[in-house]
Amino acid sequence: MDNNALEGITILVAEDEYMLATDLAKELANAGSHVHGPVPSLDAALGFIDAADKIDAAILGVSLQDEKVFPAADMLAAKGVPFLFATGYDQSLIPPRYCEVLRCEKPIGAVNLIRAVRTIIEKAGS
Amino acid sequence: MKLSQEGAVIKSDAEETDGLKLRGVLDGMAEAFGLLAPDFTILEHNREALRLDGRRREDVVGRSHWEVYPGSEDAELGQLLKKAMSQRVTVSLEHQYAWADGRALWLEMRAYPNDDGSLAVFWRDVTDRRQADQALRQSEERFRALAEQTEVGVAMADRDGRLIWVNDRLAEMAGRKPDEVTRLTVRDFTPPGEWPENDRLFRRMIEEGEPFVIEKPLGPPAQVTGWNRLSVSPRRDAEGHIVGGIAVAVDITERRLAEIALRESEEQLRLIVESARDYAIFTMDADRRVTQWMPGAEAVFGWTRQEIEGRSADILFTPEDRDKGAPQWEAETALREGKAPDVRWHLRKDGRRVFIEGEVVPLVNDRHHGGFLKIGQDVTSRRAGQEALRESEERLRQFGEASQDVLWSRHPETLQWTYLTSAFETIYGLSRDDALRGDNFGNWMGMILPDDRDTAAASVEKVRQGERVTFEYRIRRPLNGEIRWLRDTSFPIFDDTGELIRIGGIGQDITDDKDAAERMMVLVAELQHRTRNLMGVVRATAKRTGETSTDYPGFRKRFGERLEALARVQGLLSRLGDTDRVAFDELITTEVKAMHGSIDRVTLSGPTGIRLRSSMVQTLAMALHELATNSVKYGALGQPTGHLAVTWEMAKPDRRGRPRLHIDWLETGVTMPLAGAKAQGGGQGRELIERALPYQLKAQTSFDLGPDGVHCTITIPVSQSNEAGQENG
Repeated sequence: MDNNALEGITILVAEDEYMLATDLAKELANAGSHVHGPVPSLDAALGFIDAADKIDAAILGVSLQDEKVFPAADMLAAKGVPFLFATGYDQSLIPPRYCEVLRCEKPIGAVNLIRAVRTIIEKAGS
Repeated sequence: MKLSQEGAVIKSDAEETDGLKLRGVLDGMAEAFGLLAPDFTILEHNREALRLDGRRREDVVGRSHWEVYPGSEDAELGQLLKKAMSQRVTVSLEHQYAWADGRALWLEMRAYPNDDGSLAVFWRDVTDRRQADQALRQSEERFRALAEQTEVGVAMADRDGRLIWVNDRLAEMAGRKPDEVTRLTVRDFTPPGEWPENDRLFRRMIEEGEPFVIEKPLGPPAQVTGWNRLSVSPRRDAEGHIVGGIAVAVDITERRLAEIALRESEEQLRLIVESARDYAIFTMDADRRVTQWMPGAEAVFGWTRQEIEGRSADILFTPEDRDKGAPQWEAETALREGKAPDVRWHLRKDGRRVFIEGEVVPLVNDRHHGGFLKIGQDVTSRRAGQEALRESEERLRQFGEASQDVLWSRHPETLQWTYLTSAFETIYGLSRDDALRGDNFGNWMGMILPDDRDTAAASVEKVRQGERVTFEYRIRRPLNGEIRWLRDTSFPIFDDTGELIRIGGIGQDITDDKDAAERMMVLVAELQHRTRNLMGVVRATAKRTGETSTDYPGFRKRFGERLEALARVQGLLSRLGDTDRVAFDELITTEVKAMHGSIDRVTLSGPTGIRLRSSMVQTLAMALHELATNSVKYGALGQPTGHLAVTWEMAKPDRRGRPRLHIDWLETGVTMPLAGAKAQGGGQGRELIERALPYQLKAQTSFDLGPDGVHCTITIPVSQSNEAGQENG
């Protein structure tokens, strides 16, 4: 694994499960990225997206403390920020408008996570 | 003999004897004779001429004709006589002459010039003939005028049956043009089938003078279907010889049709009365004694005509009805109302009972009460069949009404409901009366949600085409707007001939099934979510445990304990129903009991039944597990002098108004390690309290290492239902 695969990349992590959130953040930091958050709730995610100068990508848990993350996803999409869903949910519960969005099923291994983040960033840049 | 010669003879004086002879001849003539000189002096008048004049010979002879017959000179008679005299030509004239005495006669006159210049004039009285001719002419004119005007057709034929005249009406009746008729014969006015009879009657009339009457269409033109009654009489000449026939025709089409209709209906009635063996028909006199007894009555009641005629018809009633006075009531009602129903069980001769549906009517002769006519039908077997049918229908009806599914049928063309069970009211929240009102198919469609209407309409159409169809659709209850899911199994219903007579169906309210399925999907998704999160938690836990372990046995022990704690939480959660919540006292009790420390050094105090949100149970449990584990290893639960007090209570709600639980974990009597020693248990308990609970559960926490033990507080939002459910706690 390239320790600098995400060098210079700023990533927002929205995940309400503390253990998973801190784990994700640690993996991403290990790969050289700067991590926003993690944030446990939709409100916090929206606040971060609104206030942050720079977000290159986002990893969104679908469900945040009994709320769906989709408003944050829409806000990111409006800003042109690529994101992926980290989910334990069946695809059918994700609205059809996100059918193109990459989806990583939990639990997510570090290798897959970094590859997925690189994929969405490259796709957005092309 | 030539008259001119006679004249010449008379003129001669030579033969006096001949002259006398000639006078004798002239006087013997039936015709009047006169001889005129060229100056119109009358030279001679015979006896007949004198008789017609009523004058003597000496009053006439030698005088001027114009004197003897005043007014004649200027009349046509005078003109002609002068013409005959001067031009020596023969003339003739029929004229009327009136004498001075008032007599007027019609005279036929001829005048012949003689060679000697005289004029022989003959005349005779034709008054009688003239009058007869005139009378005939007038009579004929009157007759024709009458014949042309009348509604009666008139035709005249000669002896051979050739028509010599018909009036317009007869031509019209025959469908002929008046001018073509005279080329036709009597046969042309007779359908070929009637020719032999018509010919025979006509010939007999011609030969024997026998008039006849015949009814026939005046065919043969195909379009002539009307019937006519012809009265045919002989036509005779003056001598009484039969010269032909005269027919007078009257249109009797309507009468004839009425007769035919009457005959047919009479025939039908006769057939009905005779053939309807299960119709009992009989008559009674005023005292209800049987007077006429038809075969059907015998078949129905078993009494023969001989046995019952003259007996009281009351014996046909059952004893019960006789006791109730039914026979009297029936007769009185019939007299009063004009009829009385007779629908009841009757008694046969053999004692068996038959159910009769019938009627009694009074017979009225010249407004006198003439007895009664009773007509009844034996419907015993039909009634039994009907009762069986009614029972079967009743069973079906009860079945349909009891069903929670709505059973229905519709007319295949109009699609209107013909049957609808009461479950409709439960499912649609609408009374059947309201549902059946107006165009109820249209109204039904109106209750279906617009998105589902096409499906419903297409499905109904398929059933009309003979298919069986099951389809699902949603309706909106008209009264409260509630939406229900229905599943309809519909099928065509055919009669014995394969004709589609109804479409039927069973409608089931599947809203609850749909809800359950939906809930199941949510639950499955939730389970997925939890499972995958749990895997992530296990993974992270393993990682952290590994990071803080110095050897494998230590890792295995602590990781094992943590997995067990997770498993206990899952156990608590899995026992929950849909709306149940884990109570905090359950959670803390479960966790403390799992520790192998001394339970007697633990005090748990707080209200029971404080419900935790399901999403918080796992994290809170893991935090409590870490506290407890540490306490067993290093604190109150592991040291003989130590004591753990866990107290909890409901705290003030948070900013959003959510109820909060305040937990106080206080260890006392613990010998603490030296300050600066390595964090207990790798610090994971502390991290969970200080970081994870605020992060994940919006908790406010504190964690202090006091001089004789750990003091930890957690204030955490709990299930909203604790507000309402407080009194249960």
